[in-house]
Amino acid sequence: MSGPCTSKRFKTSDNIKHFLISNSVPIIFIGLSALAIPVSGFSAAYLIQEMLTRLARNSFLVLSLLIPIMAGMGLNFGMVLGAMAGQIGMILVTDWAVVGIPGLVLAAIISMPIAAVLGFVCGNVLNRAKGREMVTSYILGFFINGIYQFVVLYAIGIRGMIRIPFTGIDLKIPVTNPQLVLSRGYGIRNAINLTGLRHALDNAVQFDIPVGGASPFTINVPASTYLLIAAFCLFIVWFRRTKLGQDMRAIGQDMAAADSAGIAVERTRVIAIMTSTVLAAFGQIIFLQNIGTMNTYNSHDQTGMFSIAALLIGGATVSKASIANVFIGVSLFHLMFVVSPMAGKELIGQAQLGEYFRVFVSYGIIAVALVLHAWKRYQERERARRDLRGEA
Amino acid sequence: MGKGAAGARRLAAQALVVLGLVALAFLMHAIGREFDVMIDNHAVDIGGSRHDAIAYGSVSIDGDAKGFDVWADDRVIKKMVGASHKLTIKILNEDDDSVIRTIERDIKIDFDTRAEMVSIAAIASGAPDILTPNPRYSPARPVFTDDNPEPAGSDGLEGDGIPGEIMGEGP
Repeated sequence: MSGPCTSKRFKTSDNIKHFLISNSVPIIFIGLSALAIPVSGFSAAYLIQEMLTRLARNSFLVLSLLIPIMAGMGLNFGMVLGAMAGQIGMILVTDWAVVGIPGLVLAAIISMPIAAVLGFVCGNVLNRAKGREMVTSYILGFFINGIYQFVVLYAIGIRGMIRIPFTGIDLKIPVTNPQLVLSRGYGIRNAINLTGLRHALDNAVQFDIPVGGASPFTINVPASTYLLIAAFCLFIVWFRRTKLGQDMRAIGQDMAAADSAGIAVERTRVIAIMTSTVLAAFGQIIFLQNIGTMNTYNSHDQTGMFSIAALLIGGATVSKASIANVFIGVSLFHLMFVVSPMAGKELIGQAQLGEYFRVFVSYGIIAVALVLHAWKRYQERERARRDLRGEA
Repeated sequence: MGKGAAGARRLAAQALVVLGLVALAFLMHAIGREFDVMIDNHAVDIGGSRHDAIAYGSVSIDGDAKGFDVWADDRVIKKMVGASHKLTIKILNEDDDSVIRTIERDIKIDFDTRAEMVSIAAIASGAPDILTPNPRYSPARPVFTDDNPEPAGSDGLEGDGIPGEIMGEGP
């Protein structure tokens, strides 16, 4: 065999190997889904409708993770701070009985300053933990969750539990709707019915697609939500081309070089986290309006974990993520959500085992993706070293 | 242009954005607020004048094609979004549902919708004041304080759905 042919065949197999390694996570999930879907017994119509609904519900949240990754800050587990801000906005809007699209816009406006402040705090904390952003944001999420639960359980209501000494003034955020407030006068109920806001965005512009065939069915498409998601995608594409976006990319590639080039590294990183947190607040509002009910103390808990899991499943890494990763990841992750319990029930006889399997896979995939990311970086360094040496 | 001027211009732009958002918030509150308005078809005395209820009619809010029927002594609660609305009342013949008279009235919800009701009788009579007190209105639930403690035997927690495990899973 001549040298060039050998080199070309090596490169092709090397490329295939590189492709499989780079996309190992989505490939695994596609394989698992391909096995689980027939076993689950769900129809194509049901699965398509579920995926459309879940994509509309979750894509905005996952898209909000792209900006910190661009800035080299890894996966923003602190997006749960934005989710909490969004929930506070929803609580106030529900109390004021503002419904429909105006209610959602008002909730978004209320959540913006809260999310911005939380994002500022998070960004500054992460600046003091360079190289350990992910675990720091994860723990910060728990800390702020504690403050959130204290505020929502004790400082919101008809009367406050905390009184400022010598003034007689109750420290409280006034919420007077008895359907929201616990009977003791302060604290928000666990489950809030978002009647006036349910599907407000989804139903603004929607249409049905009839699909013929042996079993004709109708697919409902929440067009307004998808338009908003598309606008956000365009925003991300545009943002990458702005000076601020380029600064973030430069910081993401090499912080020291960016600093030497005169980029305000710490300020830009804070802006990245603040932007992500505010967008996560909007994403949580979109999520809650689709669900229609808010669990005051739990809704935000899994937001970060599920969004990050979905992004990683879509083929993103800690240092690189694209819009395509978001949609692929949300589709595959939520496909597992839907088919696992039924597949488990059909295979083993218990739906709960299918649910355990899904939870195991969801959390396990984050661990696998992080390990794969480290291993891929090692492989890429080796590959670069081989190319530099001109090895066949 | 110096850095100071550019900074001042940026600050002004940011302040403008913030003011715009605040204005938008107030606008959304004004156009999106939902009210539970009681519409009453009893005979009423308003301002010394007596207005009789209509026997049978159809009421539509803001040109809603569906509308709803009312008989004498009916009282219904309708949800209205926003402060300004138009009520269209068609007084109908009970026998053949033919329209005897149509009255349109613009109403503004700037009253306590728990304490006052919109009177169809007053609207049909062309009265200037169309609000009548809600006889079933009761004041807000008392707020218990240190000076006015809650009666013994109630902890206010039953059936409120306080989560047992509020903090949820740890890391």
